[in-house]
Amino acid sequence: MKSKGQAHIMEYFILSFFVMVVIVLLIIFITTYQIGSSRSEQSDAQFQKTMFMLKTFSSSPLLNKLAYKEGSMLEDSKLTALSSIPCSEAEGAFGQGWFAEVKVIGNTVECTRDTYPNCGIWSFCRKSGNFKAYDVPVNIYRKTTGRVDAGMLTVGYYG
Amino acid sequence: MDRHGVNRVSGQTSMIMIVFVVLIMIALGVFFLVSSVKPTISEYENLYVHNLLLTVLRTDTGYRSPCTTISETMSSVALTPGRNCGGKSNTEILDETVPILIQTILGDKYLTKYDYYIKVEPENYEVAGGISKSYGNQKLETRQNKWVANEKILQYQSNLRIMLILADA
Repeated sequence: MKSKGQAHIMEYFILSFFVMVVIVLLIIFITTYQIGSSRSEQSDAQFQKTMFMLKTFSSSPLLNKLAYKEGSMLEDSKLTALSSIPCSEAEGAFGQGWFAEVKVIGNTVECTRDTYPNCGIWSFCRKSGNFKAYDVPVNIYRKTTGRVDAGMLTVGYYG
Repeated sequence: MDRHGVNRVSGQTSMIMIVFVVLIMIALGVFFLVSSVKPTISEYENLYVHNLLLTVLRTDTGYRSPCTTISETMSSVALTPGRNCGGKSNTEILDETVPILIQTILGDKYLTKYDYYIKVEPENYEVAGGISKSYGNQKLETRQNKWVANEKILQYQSNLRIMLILADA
């Protein structure tokens, strides 16, 4: 009689222990998932921000040759003008925390007011630090010669 | 019901509870797994392939008219084949510029990340025929996971269809 009662208590004890283990596992599982999904949302937000900047930069009339409504035809004189102004002013037009680089394929000369038009790399708001960047092909219109070159536009965000 | 019967019912209840909890765990696991699956079509790759095609078409070849840009050279090849553009035939110019330009733009990504296939043909090619040109890996046409960009060129009162496919190498 006594041993049966003990067996009964033991049975309930094991069952309660099992339920507790399941609840603890469930809490760990949900917490891990929440942390993972919050990181993924953060990464998604940064990706969307970079995509938006990539599209804005490649279609901005501030940088594109006139009459190219679909964009991605960056004019070298406009790029040189924008790269010559302080980053804070460029951030006024495009927001903060970003950087960009336009590179004519096969050209390694950095563009400044002195090297223009015999150059092919324009950098905007480049700083040191961790960043995530994406690149897309674009055309670069050479205003002095009227030639259209192929290049890459890289846009990224720090942080 | 005797004492043995009561014990049996109690044991069965415990078993049902355990099975019930395990089922809830499995259902939760499946729910989290399904909700974490993301669509494979990437916004970035779509933007990349469209910009790549647009860039290739607009780029200058370095030859004179009617082969000034790659899109003009494509029209010239399809509609006036064999025409000379400053020392070379339009077909030669197209053959030497398109694959090199695409591979150069893709750079390190070419064959490490992406492979490409580009096809140029007149509209209604299947019915009316004409000259069709293609470069790259034709097998990409049958791939399931690929990014496709299409453009049309209207020149000499005729439409040209250009399709560029980008897929994982």
